[in-house]
Amino acid sequence: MMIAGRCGTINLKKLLQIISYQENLDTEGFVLKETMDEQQKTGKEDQGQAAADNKQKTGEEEQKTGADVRKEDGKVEQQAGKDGQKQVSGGGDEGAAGQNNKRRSRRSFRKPVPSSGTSAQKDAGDGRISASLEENRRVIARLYGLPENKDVIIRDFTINTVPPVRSFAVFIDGLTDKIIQDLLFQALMAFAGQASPPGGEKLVDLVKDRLLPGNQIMVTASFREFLDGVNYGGTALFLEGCGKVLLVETKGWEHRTVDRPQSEQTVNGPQEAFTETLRTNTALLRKLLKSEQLSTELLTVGSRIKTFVAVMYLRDLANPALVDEVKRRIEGIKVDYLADSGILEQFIEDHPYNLNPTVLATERPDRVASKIIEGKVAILVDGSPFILVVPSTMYEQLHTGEEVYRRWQFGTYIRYLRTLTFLASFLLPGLYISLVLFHHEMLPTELLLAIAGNRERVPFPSIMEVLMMEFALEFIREAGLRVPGIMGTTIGIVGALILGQAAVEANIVSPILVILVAVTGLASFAIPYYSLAFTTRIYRFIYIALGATLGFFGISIGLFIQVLLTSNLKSFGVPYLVPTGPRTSAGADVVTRLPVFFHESRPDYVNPQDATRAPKVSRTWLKRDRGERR
Amino acid sequence: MIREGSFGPAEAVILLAISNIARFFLPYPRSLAEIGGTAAWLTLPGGLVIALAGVYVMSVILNKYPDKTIIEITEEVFGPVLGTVFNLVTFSFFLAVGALFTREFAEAMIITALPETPVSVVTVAFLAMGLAGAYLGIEALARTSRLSYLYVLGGIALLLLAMVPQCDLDNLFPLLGRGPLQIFGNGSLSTAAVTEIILAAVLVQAMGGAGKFRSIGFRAMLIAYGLGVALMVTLSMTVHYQSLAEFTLPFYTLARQIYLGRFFQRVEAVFVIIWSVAGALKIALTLYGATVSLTRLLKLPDYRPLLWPLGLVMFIISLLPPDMPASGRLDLIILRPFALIPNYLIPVLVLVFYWLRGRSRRAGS
Amino acid sequence: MPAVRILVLSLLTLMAVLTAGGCWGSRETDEVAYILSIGLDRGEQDRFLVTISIANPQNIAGAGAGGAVEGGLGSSVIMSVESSAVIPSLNLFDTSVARQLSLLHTKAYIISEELAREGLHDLLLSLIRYRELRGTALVLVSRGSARDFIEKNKLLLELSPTKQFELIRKLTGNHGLYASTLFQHFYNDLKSLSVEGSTPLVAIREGGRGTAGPASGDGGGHVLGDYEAGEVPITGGNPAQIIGNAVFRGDRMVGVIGGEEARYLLMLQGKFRWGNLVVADPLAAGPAVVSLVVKQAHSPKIRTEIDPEGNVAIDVDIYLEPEIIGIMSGIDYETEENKAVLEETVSFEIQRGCQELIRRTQEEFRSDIIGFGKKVKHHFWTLSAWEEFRWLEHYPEAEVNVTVHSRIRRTGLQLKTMPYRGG
Repeated sequence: MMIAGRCGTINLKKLLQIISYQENLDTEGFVLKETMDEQQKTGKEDQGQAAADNKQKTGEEEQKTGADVRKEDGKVEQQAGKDGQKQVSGGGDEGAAGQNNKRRSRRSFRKPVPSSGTSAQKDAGDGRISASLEENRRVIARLYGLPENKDVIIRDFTINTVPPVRSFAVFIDGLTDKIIQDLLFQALMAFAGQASPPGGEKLVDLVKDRLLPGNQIMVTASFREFLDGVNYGGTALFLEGCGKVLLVETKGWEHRTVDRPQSEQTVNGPQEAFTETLRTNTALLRKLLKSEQLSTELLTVGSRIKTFVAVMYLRDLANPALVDEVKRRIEGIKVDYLADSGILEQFIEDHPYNLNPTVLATERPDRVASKIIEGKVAILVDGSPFILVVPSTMYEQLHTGEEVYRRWQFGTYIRYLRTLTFLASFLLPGLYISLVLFHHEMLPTELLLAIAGNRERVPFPSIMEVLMMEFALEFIREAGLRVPGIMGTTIGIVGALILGQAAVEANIVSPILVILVAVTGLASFAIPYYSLAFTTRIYRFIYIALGATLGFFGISIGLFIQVLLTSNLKSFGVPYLVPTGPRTSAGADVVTRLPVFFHESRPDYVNPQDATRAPKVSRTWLKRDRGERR
Repeated sequence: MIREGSFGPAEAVILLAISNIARFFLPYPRSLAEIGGTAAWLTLPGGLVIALAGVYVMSVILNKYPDKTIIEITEEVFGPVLGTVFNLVTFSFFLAVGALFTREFAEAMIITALPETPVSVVTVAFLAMGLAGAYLGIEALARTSRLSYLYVLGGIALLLLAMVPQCDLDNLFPLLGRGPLQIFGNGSLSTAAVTEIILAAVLVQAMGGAGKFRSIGFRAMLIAYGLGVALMVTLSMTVHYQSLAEFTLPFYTLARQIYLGRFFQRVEAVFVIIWSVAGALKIALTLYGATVSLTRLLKLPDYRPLLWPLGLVMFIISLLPPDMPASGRLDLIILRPFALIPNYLIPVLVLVFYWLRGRSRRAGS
Repeated sequence: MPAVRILVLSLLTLMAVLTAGGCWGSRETDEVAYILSIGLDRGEQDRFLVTISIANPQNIAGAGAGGAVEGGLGSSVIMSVESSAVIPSLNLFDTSVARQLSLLHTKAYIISEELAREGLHDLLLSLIRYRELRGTALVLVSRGSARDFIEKNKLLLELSPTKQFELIRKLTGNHGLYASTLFQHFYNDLKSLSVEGSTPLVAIREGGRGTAGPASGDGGGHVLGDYEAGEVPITGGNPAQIIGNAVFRGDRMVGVIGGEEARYLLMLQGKFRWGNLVVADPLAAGPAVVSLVVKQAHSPKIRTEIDPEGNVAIDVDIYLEPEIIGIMSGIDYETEENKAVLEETVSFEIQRGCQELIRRTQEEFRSDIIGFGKKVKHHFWTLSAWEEFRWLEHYPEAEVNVTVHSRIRRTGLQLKTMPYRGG
């Protein structure tokens, strides 16, 4: 084209052809459906063996391979080029283009051959394991897409019995623990030494009972269970002449070790956090709650990829109705893949349209343990370090758990401080804007004159000023999170300082506002639950709008509606604002944190099976002391 | 038949008490000062006695039909025609209270905080709050009042405390003000004109049944009248009774008078928040009361579809009075006497009819 | 939950409507000029001459202090206009200020004596209704024109002129040389049948040291603060002075009391907190004085009696706690007997002063500014009886006895005065 340009022999059509959009089918090799309509349309066309449409980019992900396709594509491209010219000459008329498209749609797509995988999966559902090793090997190859799928290893060996038994092991490289596997193979290949092994089913029992040292062994005849086991890091042993498979637990994939909490840091109390491994997380909880009453029920969610979801509770405490409800909701989720507990939270929460979160997510095992001991239910999702606790109240979401570890005076002080930060985090800018716009009489004269004097040089209306500063803060917040590594914290501080300072010096905002926005930001960071902090972040903008339109009256409209909406919330049958709205027996730990020896009962809103936590006198030594003195 | 939700006695007491004291944020204390002079506060204990008697009579009636509200009871006792007429009176009372309070609160808001805002906007805002509250139901309203009562009552307490330096006990003398006849006759009848007895009787099933009605009613009335007395005493002590009778919004005037040094003054806008929340609660409650009483009267399964039309009706009625003094006069001249009918007259009539019918039945058998 | 969705939607719609409709009544701080004090005089052509002092926030905020206003504008701008009513005149000012004038932060209403003597009823009635007017502002009466006072009132220590008025109010407790009055209380007093109003008196001192003498020269001669405003012989500094009170009968000003009498007024009302006092040394040979700090121990006890003919007798007991701060003569007043003598002297002086003040209010002003009526009221059951009694007309005939009880509780840092050598 460059050459053409230099030669000066370029004609308009060619130029237009250069600049008009052409699908490069050569590199993509396939095209995607873009909208729902297109998908439906193409679906119909597919059914009717209709031609695919170039512009609508019909096609399947799995394309025909081979040179003939290339050739065909090449033809299509030529055709598309011509069409492009026509389209342009037609003035980009949609109708014309559509006609062109229809006419052009010469390329017909075969419906993709059902891949071996899908049919194999169909087999796997009710497939039984055969006694023949070769037959099993063939099925496995079909199931896992061998030999293309390089993750799955099939290891042939013979068991060292007196007539040796041919067998093979199946496992996925990287998911298993090599040391354990070495042990297994050693035991079978070197030390077995058993004479005259029985055939058929009994062979499995022999291997399982006498030969194999694995700590968890499951015997199954179903390919479905075999697949689930191997996919989850197990090693499967197939034995010659035996219709069953041995699944040995050899999980040993790479994972993050137990670390300090990242988002819920505390000074006092345990410093462990959950990790991405389900079993580690259940173990962390069980380590804290050493009780046979602690149940872990495993459910699976996901139709395509199964994700384990564990529901943990104390059998003798948690209300059975609550446990059933939790399980009912989790089992009722129809989704192909559950990636994280955050997604599960959105599936099971009661009020998805309200801003307030009604499920507590935490990464601290000690917090979850303290909730389970109150009779609540913990939901662990495999692969997520955040554990959900239900039911959850707003007061609970404003706790960190740390207040209880500290002496009660300090805990109570922190709680009241947090109440203040909670209110400030969404009300402060709205109050400021309504003061500055509507209620000049409310400020002390000297403060008002100071604000007015500073505002004198600012060229923006106050609402713009506030919004600018608020958004700047939000930018810093978001950027501070995304900036890699150590720079994150630095960016936050530097950004805030420099931005504020420069904005004031440039007379874009008044200094009082910088202070105010900074305080609001701090207040918002002081809210311990990230989701709740998010709630206040959004409410803040609503209050700014209300304050700017109707002043304090607007603020009170907002407060009234917010309280109404929030008090209407429920989390798994428990009102969100309990114990203040509705009033229930408050217990010793809501805002004021009474001394620990007053924590005598569990919160009654959960309706635990046993409401007493401690007897009236928890410090029996006091009594004894008095007795001795007498 | 109507899903109302339910709430505990603690919430019910607070709900009724806040609803009752909402009138003190309006020009109402002014009229009391006019009636009672220096002894304006003495009109309240008399009103309390009447109100307690009213609660008692109502509880007697409700206990006769433990699973019904006053609407169904009236209809059952008086028959479909007369009963419907009486129930329509109750319904229109709720509607009138709601509309007038909406207007008065809107006017108060304009006078105190938003001098340049059109009245329709403030009215719409109040009604929107009321509609939201009534839509979410009495349970949400009860919880909201329970959550906000600390701030409402705490704000009032703070106001009264802040006025202590300016209080002058001598302003309460002469003790009997305009004379016992005025205070305990005219004044007590005026203060006894509450909305809450009939409201509580309509909500009785949501409050946990007729059995709890009496204690809830008594406690709510005691709290409300106690606060009212405290407010009126403080008002009388700080503002001369002649000036008090002049002010449009005595409560606001009181808040403006706070002066605790160079910094702690000018706090009245904070009270704007408190009393607009109280006003919104009151409007939501009366709207809810009107809707539910009409629903029960028409025996409909749900009250929510009626909410929007009634809200609109309330809005239109609230814009009918030509000016603020007129709405104040309507409150005094029509609404206060009107309040006595559903709160006291109809219950007494119901009781009398019930006895008469019982006697005739006994005589018949 | 469609319910929640509808609610959220309706809330959003409401907000959209509100925002689209504009922000009613919202006012940026830089669109408003705040009036800090208003002076009211009789006008020459029109009814009033209104003088306002507007804050200049740029100067007060101090941002970029080295700016362009050096030597130009101070912290406030003073303007005057003649008008037939006070609040509407603000619109006249607007023609030259180009900002909305606001009374929300007006700290003082200064009324000229001339206007006050004609009556304030129509003036104040027209003000109290206005929503921007705050009852917590000060009411001051100025000897001479209020405009002069505002113009010549030079702020020396304060950056913001409002602080001056806030401090004026506070300072009354520290010396008691004037009884400060808030607008709201003054208004109440005008309505009341049991007490008359009084406001602090302000003036600009003109001339040198000796131009004006003490107002009432009779008596001991050794009293502090026996001046009216404008007469305190201070040189230098701010020429504005606040001392003494204007006395009202009804809404008309009828006279003036000096600083010392203002103290007695406060003592009789129980509002005197603290103040320095000078008494003639009772034991010294020469013209020596003893300086004391006087504190009011608690409010005075007032007993009233009405006989059947309607004659009122009032007994007032005032309780004071002086503390010695200086003894010129060096006489040992710490001893028990000397202390009793000194206490007696203090009591006598103050008792005489109080009686004299009451006599003046009864005979000269015929106005109960002390508020004895509030106590007499207790004898009546109903308002109608009290209103018929017409206390304010009875006041001049009432018999008032004042008893002062002084107890010197402390003698400062010295417990004993030793005679000094030489002398």
